[in-house]
Amino acid sequence: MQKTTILEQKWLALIALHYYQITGINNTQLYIDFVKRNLFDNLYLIRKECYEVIRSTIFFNPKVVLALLDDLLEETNPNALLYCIAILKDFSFSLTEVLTGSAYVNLGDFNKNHRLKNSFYSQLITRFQCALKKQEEFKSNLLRKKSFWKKTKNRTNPIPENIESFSLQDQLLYYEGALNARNLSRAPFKNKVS
Amino acid sequence: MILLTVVAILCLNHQMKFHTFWTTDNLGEERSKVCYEAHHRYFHFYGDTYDIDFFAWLYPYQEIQKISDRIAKEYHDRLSERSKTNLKHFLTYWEYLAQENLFPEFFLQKPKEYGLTYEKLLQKKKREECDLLEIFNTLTLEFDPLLMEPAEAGHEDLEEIFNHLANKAAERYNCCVNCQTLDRSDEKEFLNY
Repeated sequence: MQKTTILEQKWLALIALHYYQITGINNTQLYIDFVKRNLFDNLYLIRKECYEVIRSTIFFNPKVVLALLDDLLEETNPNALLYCIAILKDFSFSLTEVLTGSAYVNLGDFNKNHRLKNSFYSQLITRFQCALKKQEEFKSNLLRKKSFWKKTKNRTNPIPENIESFSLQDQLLYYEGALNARNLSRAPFKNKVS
Repeated sequence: MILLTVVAILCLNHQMKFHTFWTTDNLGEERSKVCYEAHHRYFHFYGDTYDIDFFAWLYPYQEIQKISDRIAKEYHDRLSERSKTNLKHFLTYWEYLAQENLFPEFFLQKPKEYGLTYEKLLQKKKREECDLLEIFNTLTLEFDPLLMEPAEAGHEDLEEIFNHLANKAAERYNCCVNCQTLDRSDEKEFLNY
């Protein structure tokens, strides 16, 4: 069932993952292969459903998502980078949401355990730095190719030089502001395309 | 506060919409319906197909000609708020992204996901009344939905087509039935219990 080419079964397998991953994931490598196969599907429906699966894994077993991010960052496909940025943003958002108590999900000891919190922050920041380097390459490659990309402005927020003096939570927020690959696209859609 | 959402049900194999309904968020129990024509499985989309852009998202993103044909047909059939020039930009942009192998969901506006409170529901206007003849004209099919696939339309023998389609339908039907009665032991490969 995991390697089917039939549309209905692909969709059903993804929906099943939503519910069955709550208790935990045994084999992370199988999970990563399964998710990566569906993330690069041709159909939007399956890509969307697969991305929502990852969103729920962030809450229930976040260590698996870190392994997935490492796997995606090694690829040369630009879509992998775009997914990475989206996942990283959701991850940091959910972390801050859980820690401030505005989320209605209870993660048990995660709220009280400060070591666990800080380890997740520091692990996320290394991934953010990797993604930022790749994002700049991606932007420069796109700007070379066609004329209508040039009309966009660089709207990302700059990172301060003394960033290491801030707390880990603030560092994450700065990196989150700097990652904005999607801002590339907004202006050219309104302009005329030849 | 209770949120309501519009849900469109459609068959991705036929690329047709069957109906829409309003629900709250617990959809898990109604997911196993099957299309009567060829035993395809229905797909639930959160949101509705009022916008013409929606039909672009039903096809694989590389098949540009199918998408443009479908959008032109939908534009001809119904009234919409989108202007023609705006749709042209949408399609040219989509084409450029497909050539670069970039997924359009990162660069274009995604299909809307509707959410309404009860207060907004009361403000919603009624649909304009139509003549019966207009309704019948929209309901009648121009061609047989079974012969929709272009690769099989080239064959002239109807028997070959029907045999081929029957085999396909049987295969899909078995898939759907087997999914409902899966053993939990098969799922243990990467899941904890």
